[in-house]
Amino acid sequence: MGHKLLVGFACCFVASTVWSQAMDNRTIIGAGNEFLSAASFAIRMGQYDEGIRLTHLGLNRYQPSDRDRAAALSNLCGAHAAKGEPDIAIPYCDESIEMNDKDWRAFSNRSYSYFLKGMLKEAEENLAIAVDIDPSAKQVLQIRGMINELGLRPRVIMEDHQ
Amino acid sequence: MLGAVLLISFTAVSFAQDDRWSQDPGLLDPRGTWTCVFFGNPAIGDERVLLSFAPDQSTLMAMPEEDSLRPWLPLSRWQLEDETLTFSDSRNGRVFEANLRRTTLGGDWRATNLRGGWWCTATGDGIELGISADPNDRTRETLVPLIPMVMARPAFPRQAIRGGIEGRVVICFVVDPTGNVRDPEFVELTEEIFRATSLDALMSSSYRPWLERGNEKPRPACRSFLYLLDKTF
Repeated sequence: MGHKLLVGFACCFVASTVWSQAMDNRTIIGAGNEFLSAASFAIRMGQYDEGIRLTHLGLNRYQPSDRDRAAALSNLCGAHAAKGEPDIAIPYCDESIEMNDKDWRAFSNRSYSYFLKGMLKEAEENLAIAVDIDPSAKQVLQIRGMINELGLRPRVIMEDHQ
Repeated sequence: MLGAVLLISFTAVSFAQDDRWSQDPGLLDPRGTWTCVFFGNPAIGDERVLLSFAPDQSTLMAMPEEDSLRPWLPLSRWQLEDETLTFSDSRNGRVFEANLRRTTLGGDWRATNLRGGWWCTATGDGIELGISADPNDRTRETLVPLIPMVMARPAFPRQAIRGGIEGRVVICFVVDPTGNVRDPEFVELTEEIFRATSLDALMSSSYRPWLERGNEKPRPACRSFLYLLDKTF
């Protein structure tokens, strides 16, 4: 169950790279994109190690555009978080956000990474930014649910009136 | 001549109202005397009162307490619009409303900055309540308080925690002399997600029976549930 949840997250986190490449012709032209596309697909399929390897290939051997680079770094963050490696994930998210602070997925990935570390306040702060950028993002609801389940203590007060 | 016209008009209205209840058995007839509980006023707390709705639309209220005798106090005339009964208490500015489609008499009340609820059971006709407008009448009526035997706590729905949803539920009901809860009705439900768990908890609750004390009438009561989420980070 937990693995399926992580795969689900990974799919959502990385979907944008392929989608944006398909929709935006400007980023199709450029070296390294096929490696980044393949990496997105691998991560979506739950093959995190392969996806991480391909992403590094795409970033190191070729010169992707800044936009693609930011998206790839966000994907690395998502993949490492999906593997349960938040300490490795967070710096990638930091770098991605530094290049592009309008990508809600990077904030969402960083939120999940902080959640894994039990840093709920930081997780919520990043989630709030993701919501501000894209209020309709479904993944945000899932992460918020996880944060709430861990960080909110329920209480019921009963009173009789007679 | 004018007097005759007014009398005929009043009689016609009375007959019309009588027709209304005889024609619509699902509509509660408020006429009579009721044992009620008012709740929601933070300054006063819960109040046990008697309400009397007369056929001439006059409304009276009395407050039977263990060691004091209060006469009947007049309230505003009761009005019926569609299925909603309304009346008011000018002493504190409270306006009371009740939907007469419920199983018993009750609803909510509102004042300037406050709101609460009320719930009643019928006391029936011809019962000596010991409440009299005569201040020299020393007859007393004691209402034994309901004592909870089992007060089940509702489970906080997991989906509500995940969604960060808080809420308030008020369910009014009747307690029969064996101590069992009957006829629950939701008076307030801020979030639908809390409906099932609140009802389950209420119906799992019970009160100490009072059959042996000679008062075999069911008693009205209400229970409020406040669902809260405290942040731990």
